[in-house]
Amino acid sequence: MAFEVKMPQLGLTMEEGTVTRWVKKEGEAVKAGDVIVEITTDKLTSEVESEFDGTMLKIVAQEGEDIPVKGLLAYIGEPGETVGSAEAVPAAAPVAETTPVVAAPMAPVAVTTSGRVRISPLARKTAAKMGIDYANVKGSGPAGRIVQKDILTAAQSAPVVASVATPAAVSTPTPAIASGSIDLMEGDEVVKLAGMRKVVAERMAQSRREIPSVTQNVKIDVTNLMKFRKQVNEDLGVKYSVNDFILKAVAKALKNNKHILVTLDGDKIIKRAHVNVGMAVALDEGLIVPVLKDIDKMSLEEISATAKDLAERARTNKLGMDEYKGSTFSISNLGMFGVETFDPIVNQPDSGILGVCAVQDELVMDDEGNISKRQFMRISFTFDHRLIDGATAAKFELAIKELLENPMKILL
Amino acid sequence: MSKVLSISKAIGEALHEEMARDENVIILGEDMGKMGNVFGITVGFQKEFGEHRVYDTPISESGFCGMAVGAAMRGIRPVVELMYDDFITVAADPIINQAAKMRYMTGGQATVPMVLRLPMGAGRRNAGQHSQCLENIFCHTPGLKVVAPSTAADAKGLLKSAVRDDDPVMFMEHKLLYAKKEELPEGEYTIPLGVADVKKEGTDLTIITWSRQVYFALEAAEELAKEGIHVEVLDLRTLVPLDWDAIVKSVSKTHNVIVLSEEVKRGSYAGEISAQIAEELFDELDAPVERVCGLNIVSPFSPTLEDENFPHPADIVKAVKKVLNK
Amino acid sequence: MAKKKYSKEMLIDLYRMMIRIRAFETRAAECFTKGMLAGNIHLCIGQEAVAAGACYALEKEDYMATTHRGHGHTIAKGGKLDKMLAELFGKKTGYCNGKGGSMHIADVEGLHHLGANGIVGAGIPIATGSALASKVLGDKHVTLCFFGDSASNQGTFHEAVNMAAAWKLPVVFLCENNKYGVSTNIHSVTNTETIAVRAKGYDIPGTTVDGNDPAIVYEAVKEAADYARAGNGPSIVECITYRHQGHYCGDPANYRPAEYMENAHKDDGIPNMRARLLDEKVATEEELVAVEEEVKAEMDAAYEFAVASEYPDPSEATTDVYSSDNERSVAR
Repeated sequence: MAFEVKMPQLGLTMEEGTVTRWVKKEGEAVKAGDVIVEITTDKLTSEVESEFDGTMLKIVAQEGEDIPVKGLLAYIGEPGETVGSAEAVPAAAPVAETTPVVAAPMAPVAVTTSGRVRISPLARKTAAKMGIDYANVKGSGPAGRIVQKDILTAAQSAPVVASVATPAAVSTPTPAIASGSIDLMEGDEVVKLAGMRKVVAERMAQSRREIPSVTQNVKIDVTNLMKFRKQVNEDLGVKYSVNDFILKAVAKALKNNKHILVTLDGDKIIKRAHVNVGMAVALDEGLIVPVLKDIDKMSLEEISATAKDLAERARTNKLGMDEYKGSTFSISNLGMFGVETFDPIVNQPDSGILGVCAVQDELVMDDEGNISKRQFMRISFTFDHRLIDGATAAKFELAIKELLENPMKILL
Repeated sequence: MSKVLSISKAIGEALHEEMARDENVIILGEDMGKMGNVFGITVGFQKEFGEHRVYDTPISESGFCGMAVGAAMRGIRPVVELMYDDFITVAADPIINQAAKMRYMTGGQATVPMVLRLPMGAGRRNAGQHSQCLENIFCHTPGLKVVAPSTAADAKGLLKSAVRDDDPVMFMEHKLLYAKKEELPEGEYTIPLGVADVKKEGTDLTIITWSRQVYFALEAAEELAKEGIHVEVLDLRTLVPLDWDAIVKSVSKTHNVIVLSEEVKRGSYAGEISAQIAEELFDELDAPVERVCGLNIVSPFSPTLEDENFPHPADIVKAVKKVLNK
Repeated sequence: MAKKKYSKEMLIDLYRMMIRIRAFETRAAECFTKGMLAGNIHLCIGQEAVAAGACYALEKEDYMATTHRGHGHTIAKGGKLDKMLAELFGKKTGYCNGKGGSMHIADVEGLHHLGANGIVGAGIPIATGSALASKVLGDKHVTLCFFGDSASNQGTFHEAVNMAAAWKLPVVFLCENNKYGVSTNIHSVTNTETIAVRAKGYDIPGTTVDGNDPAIVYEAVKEAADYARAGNGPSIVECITYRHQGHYCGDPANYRPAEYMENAHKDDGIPNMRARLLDEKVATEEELVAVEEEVKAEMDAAYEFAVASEYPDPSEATTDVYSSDNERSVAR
């Protein structure tokens, strides 16, 4: 009997993972403990080690496929051994083009919350072959049954394929990523929406859909902050970033404005006890928000070190599952890109996100008519207006402004 | 080169050619000799081939069908006619328990190369005991081959093959087709048993049918073509052995199927074919297989009643539209 | 009695045939009782003289069709005990490769035996059809058609005898009248004293003879066969006989009066013939014992053969349904 390699559960909330890369190929010898495959879950890439000695007999889940937890990935066994259900698995299709149907006991029909989808056997087969999610295809057959023609029409107008068998795609309907009707033009490349990009897409769309957000922009004179930072760095021989001071200031402001730390849960409001600030880190393939937990209790030094470490590990996919969960507030800093103001999207379940913009030189005229050069930075605070009122938000912004314009107060 | 003959004459021609070719071919049945059959199929045969080869039997269907089995086991090739296929009830034992089973029960020793010609079908206002299509009984019985041609050319070629076949062949002839005049090739030819024929090509739906309903299917197809619906008409011609490859080919092309026959719908061979398609071609189907058959009633006498009891082109058109949701 | 007319060789042959049949039926009954046989068997113990005498009257090339109680006829027509018993066992070495069993033993090509039949009366038209074939082919073969008294009440009997008479077909209709159709006495369901009297209805010869004496049966059948072979058509020969067993092996047959079996034993052809052969000094005790031991040895060998033979491979279940296109015709 060949051993089955299954999708591991890499975190409590993990439901599925994407096969990113097979380290071992079919026919290769495998020892227990060898890394055989890389899996991306949510926002994390993990290496899966073999539990068995033997030969990689058959790779069932192809690179790019989303496989549910405990779903079959591969068989390891003796060379020449036949593997039982391997034949039942559809042949692998080029990764970038289609999502082969996963031989997991979760036909999309069965998990559709709205009940059984009426679809002809032929249409079902065709949809599977072409990787068409037919949950939203309108049927033209008797009693609204989806027939093959409907699938072909859907395929023609929606070459971007959606997964047909991933619980995430089905259980959280996300029209933003469902197959649309996009005409392809010459040279277009079609890739599967998967892994981190898929999660980001889902989260952003969900937040935008659910949250009536308001953004307030506040201009802050950071001339003193910039000087203060320079002096501290010189005096102490450290390298605190502007961001470190901002984090510290925000932490302090939050501690004094706890009503910003709220979460709406149905008909309940959760008042957060902890000041856990998520820090958006841009990656090549998306975005990740590691969390500085209980940041209000951290010194500037601790904040600086933690932020640096988290960002570094985020960029190298080395974050632990729990390190990007549990935020109660988030900060997105686009200052280094020269962004003047923006409109960040609330990172649910938080109710507020602070966009930090570029530091710019501006001329200022004082009461006496003297003109001087000052450094300004804008913050863009986006909040869930269901729970946070405009004035409440403004007070919070003022608190930040107060701190950043009087940097000594940040440390006091 | 071709000629035009009525289907009954085409059947007669096949019998005549086979009797001339093989002196072991004999004809048994009511009124087959002096009269030359009630449909004139064997007129002149007895005079030409002799009384020892063309028999006017008494009205003893069980007896002469049983005798045909015995004679066939001896190497004779009897072509027996039951005046109506309805009479199979009185000749059921020799066909179902004897002819069909003899080869198997004797471990392959015996062959029963007989043909039972079975005029069948509704439309002649002959009421309950002279109008049935009973192919399901024969198709159900292992050991019998079953042929049900629609055209003159097919009837001739298939009957000649049936006479030459070493198994008992039930040759079902629709009475309402006898007078139909059609073109058929000159000279000798045979059509192998077990080969279906696409009578009309189409892309949207396959009508699997046989015998007289082939014509109704073609009429319906013509009507539907005007609306842009292209129906394929697959004439099975032989019901056992079934040309499954032809069914697979057609269904794989059109993905929608109607099985059309004049039988009583309940327990029909049409139902059997429908089940096989559902079992084996499930993934090819865009809609459930539809049976279009007669009603589950006794064949009525009065024209208005009888016409209710078998599918007409309009019924077929309606069924096609139902399947395609047009 | 006409026994003096016949050679010693013929009489010994008839005796040997009768005890072969009884040996076979007795062994078959033993095997059945021990649970070695599947299904049912219908034994002809008590009717051996009919089979032996009738078949002795046939030419080798003549044809025969028989009934569900047909082991004796098959043996008399030349059937081998080993292949027959193997068929009863359902073994692949049987006459029908195990596909027919007791009620369907046939050897069409070899013995010109058109088969036993499980449907009462169904063999009569088949035998008549064989006679029709002889007429069409112009050969001189006669077909002997065995049937029981109860089959004479089937429509097929009347239909076939009528056609055979009308077309003067070379067939001998031999009725083994053992008086019972399963449990029903023939006289309780039939108005005529004999079956043969029905011949009058078809204007053909009909005769009723003692079926316990093979020589008498031989004589009657020989006459009917000659008559048929000469082109005069069919006859009915009725042989009065006894069915010692019930309808099937294991049937206690308590529906019959005690006298039935008393008479059956009194008239039993086998001991009676043995006694006569000795009385009339046709054969010595030693000669008869030698024949009997020969038969026992043959039967023992047949038994060994049947037991040792293999059952057909399960894959054989789907062969022989059709002579052409079998696989496809069986598949769907």
